[in-house]
Amino acid sequence: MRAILLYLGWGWLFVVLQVSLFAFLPLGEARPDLLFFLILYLGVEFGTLGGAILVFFLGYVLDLVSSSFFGLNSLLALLFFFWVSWISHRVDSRDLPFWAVALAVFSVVEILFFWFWPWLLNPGAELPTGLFSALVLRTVGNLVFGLPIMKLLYLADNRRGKESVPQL
Amino acid sequence: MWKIWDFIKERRRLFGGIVLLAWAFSLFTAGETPRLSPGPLAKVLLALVSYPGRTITFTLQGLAGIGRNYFLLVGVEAENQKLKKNLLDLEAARFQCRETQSENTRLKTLLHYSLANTYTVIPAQVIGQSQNGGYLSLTLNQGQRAGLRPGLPVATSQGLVGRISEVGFQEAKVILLTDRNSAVPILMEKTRSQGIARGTGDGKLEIRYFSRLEDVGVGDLALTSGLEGIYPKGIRVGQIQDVRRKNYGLFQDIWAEPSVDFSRLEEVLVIFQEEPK
Repeated sequence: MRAILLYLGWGWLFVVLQVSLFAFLPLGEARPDLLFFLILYLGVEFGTLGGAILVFFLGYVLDLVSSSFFGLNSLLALLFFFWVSWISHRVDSRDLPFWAVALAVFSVVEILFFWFWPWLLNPGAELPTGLFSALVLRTVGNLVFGLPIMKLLYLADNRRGKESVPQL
Repeated sequence: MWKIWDFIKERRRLFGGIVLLAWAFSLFTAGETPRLSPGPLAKVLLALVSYPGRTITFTLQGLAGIGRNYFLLVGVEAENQKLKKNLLDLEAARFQCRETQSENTRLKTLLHYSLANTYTVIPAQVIGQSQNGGYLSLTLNQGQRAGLRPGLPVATSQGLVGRISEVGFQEAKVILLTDRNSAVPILMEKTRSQGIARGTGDGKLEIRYFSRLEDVGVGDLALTSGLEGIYPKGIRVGQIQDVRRKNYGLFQDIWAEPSVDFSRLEEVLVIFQEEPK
């Protein structure tokens, strides 16, 4: 239970920072997705149904405060969580290269979705320009901010002694 | 029935995940509706995130505003200093321009004077003036390099100033007409009678050797006579100010005011009666 409250606290902090501090900074497309760093961490460490419910809830909160398409963050968060959880059993997922690849994949999928989803809804619409720079910037932003935050999350867990999310 | 339940329980992760994904997908496909009419839970969640978020945003905006204003003020201060410096430069340039204009006018007058006379002249600027008892002198900014030598007369368009007493490489000293050591042969413009104008050391001229019989009156003009070969003939020396005829003696006591106002001298002409070397 304490673990759930702790990660809810982290999630709340990340969402608040994402909609305030990082929305204020002039980062453009390089603005990082803080909540998804926590989701990556949860996917690696707690790939359980409890973790999935937590992730869905955090995605929903993010959808409530900021989303171009309501439900997108909940859906992406869950998909990302399951993918990380599935793959983390097959590779060494507690290391920097895995985090980097996972964050890069997430960045690309997110940008591609934002780019093409409106076009899929309305096929006659023109595609916006600047896809490549958006892909690069978002990936770089997520890597620059994500890797230290992942390290920070692990350090915080090591200090308190890890307690798993309740197994369902 | 129990078998189905056991089957689901064994695969609860899978089914739980499917349910969650389906829920998320239904939210996603439902569009904007939940945002427009949030339920009580959504309202609480929104408040939990939006209040601290707003506080952080306002704080950041305030800090950014302070920073912007600070840098703006720094810019204004620098601009103010620059404008002040520009103003000073312009004032200096304006002053310089006015000085040049004034100098130009004076030099034109001098040039006209020198043309009226048929002598070769060299213009010089007064760079110093000294008064030591009754001994008055000027320092000019021209010297040997310009061909100046002791004894050369110095004048302005107003009249005679004096003569050069010492010459340096690039400066020359001039003994003024009113110096006690100065004596200039003169003639009266009206009567053409001749005498000597001596400096008194107090800014006046004493006219000597005028016979009691000569008709000299206040206001008469004294010019250089050209005798002794130092001063060219016809340069104004002064104007008679006081005449005293005694009942005894050969000569009259006459005092004159110099034609030149020595306190306002800035440029003078050094006169050569032959070509300067």
